[in-house]
Amino acid sequence: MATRRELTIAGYYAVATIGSLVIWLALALSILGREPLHGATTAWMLTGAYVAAMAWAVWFVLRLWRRLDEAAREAQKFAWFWGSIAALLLTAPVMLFFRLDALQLPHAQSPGLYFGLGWALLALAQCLCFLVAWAGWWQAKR
Amino acid sequence: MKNRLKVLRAERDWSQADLAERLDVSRQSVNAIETGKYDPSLPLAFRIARLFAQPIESIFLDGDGGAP
Repeated sequence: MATRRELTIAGYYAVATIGSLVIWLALALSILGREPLHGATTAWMLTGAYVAAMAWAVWFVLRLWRRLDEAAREAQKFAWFWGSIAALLLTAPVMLFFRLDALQLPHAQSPGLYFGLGWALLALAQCLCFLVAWAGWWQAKR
Repeated sequence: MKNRLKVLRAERDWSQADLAERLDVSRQSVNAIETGKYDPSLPLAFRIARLFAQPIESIFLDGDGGAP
């Protein structure tokens, strides 16, 4: 059975994730209801909406951090440190491979899309490596 | 670092969750400390000592578990 501490922490995760998603969707739909999808004004407004959604998440992550006990904080520090380093090292050769256009992929999209994909790959790699390191830390402490 | 946390907890018939609640930490943290895989910070060690009303050095054993 989950303890009160675990429920509180899960609650912070849920409020941070769902809240930021709701803020982002509500603002984005509101903006796109009035502005065309493509255009500098829309881009600025959508970026601002995204910042607002992330600010909500950051507020709850700060509160969540205060609720974590010291072992959980150590696990987070370890996992972000080694997870981030591993992700950077693992994705660097991928970046070089694609930079040299080894696959000769067709490229008919805007540079912005490729920039976004590059960021998403790094973020995904960081999250995956974080999870492995975090699980490994707790496994070693069992 | 070895410790007598499990013995002290058993003497009071507390579960790991009970002890975790009293110390305001997670059950996983209590387990990690009990097994000697995680050394608590000084503030947490003092909280543990206060909870069991014993000096820190009688709960946490230096080195390979010999007398403090």
